[in-house]
Amino acid sequence: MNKYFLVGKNLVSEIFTYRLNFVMWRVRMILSLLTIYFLWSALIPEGRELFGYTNSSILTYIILVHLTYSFVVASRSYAVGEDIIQGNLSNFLLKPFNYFTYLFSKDVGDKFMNISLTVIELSILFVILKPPIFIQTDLLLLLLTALSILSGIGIMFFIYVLLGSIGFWSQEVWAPRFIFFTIILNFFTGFLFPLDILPKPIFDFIQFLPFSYLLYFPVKIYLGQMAIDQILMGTSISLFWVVVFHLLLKKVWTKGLQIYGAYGR
Amino acid sequence: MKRYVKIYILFIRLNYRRASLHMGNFMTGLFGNVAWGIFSILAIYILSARSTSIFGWSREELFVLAGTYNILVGGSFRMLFARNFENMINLIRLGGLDGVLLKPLNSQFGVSTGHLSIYSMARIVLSVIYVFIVMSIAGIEIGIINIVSFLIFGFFGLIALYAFWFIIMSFIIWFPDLYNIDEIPYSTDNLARYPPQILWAMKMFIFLFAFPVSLVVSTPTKALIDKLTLFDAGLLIAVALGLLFVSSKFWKFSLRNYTSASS
Repeated sequence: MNKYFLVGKNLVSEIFTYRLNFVMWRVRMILSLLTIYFLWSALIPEGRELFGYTNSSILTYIILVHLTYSFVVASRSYAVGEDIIQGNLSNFLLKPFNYFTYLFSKDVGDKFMNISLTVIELSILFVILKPPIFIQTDLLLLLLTALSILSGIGIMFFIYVLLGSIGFWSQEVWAPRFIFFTIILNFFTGFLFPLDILPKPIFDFIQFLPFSYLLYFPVKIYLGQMAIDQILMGTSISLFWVVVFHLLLKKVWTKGLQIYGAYGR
Repeated sequence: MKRYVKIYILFIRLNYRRASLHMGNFMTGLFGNVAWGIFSILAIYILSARSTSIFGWSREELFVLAGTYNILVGGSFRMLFARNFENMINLIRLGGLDGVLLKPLNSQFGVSTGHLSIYSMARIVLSVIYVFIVMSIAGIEIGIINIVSFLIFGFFGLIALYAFWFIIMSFIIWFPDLYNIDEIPYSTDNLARYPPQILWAMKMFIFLFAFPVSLVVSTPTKALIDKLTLFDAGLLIAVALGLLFVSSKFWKFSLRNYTSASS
């Protein structure tokens, strides 16, 4: 266990070594938050209601999504594809540790840094913008939020590794990753807008996909805007996707390793 | 000048051949690019579904703005310059800039023009069709003057964006380990698809920093929908030429600090 802790710790040290690079990434996130924040401020001015959201509820949603993003989406596992294509995977296969646990340990280090920075950034923005703040005090809802975040982390991890596994069959891992990051993350997770503003048939359909459980679902539980039966249903679907992706990854990885060539090594 | 035009035509041919050789990459790039364009427009449809205007722009005008963003930034800029700026990072970090500096070419031209993303052409064509459809449905009349002025101000918008990117990317010479410096211009030029007033609402340093970007798409769009004022026109031209001048001076100044990868 200690070795995996060291992997996470090393990642944190690496971030501190290349801190300006990390700052660049955070600047991008802040810009993105501010854009969405001011766009929604304009769409729903104070005293007005739109799509069932008031000014304060939508801004709380936007800020919480931003925070949840650091928990769920921040990751280093996207590098799996490059590891496979460049043959670096061999180094890990020969070592006495589990590659997936290694990846997850790196993710934990990355999430730790992203969460820490997000909390600092949001604290500064709170002072400047003075947005509405909602503190959930219901312990059960807090526990269910934590559970949904954990299952979101699981889904996200498996998606990253599965996307990277394309590297076993194709050199072109960039495009699927681009499509996932730019389209799916923006539109189907609730990052840009709460999914319940979509027409009901589309919203109902999206609820059966894994993506709404990454950001939208945990935030809505935290805000107390879901009935307990909806939460249980959502948690079940989310856990179902964790299991499905886990089994799929096992199958894909086994098949992939059978054809893995590590060219030039 | 003639020599540069000839070289640029050669670049286009080379990039076309490269694209036809790697058809798989070309198709995935094409799909990703067009899909992103479609979804970015859909986002505006969803966000403005129950509003008649945002920041003084009517819903129809916002749709046109989303389309012109796809023509100018998502299409033209990504096709002509974005890959060159991405390559600039490794060119400077790994010392490849030496080769560019030794050529009898303007080095700014050399580092920022050789790579073209041919597949972005599809996004431009589809976006042009989309803008025409949206404008005709919305009943916004388009005259030849609107089209010509859109092209002229679109050109100046591209110059402004090019210079903005170039100034930021030049910092790589001082900070060669800053391999993700392109995060900044990428996230900033995304702001151009929203009304510029959104930046003014930020009332922070970001406004000053991203101010040129807010003009890149909005000014040509105003020209297209017949809402351009003399002040808008003058401002974009001044910003574009000013930034281009600064980018050239800054690049020359930066080169004095270039030490090559092995030095």
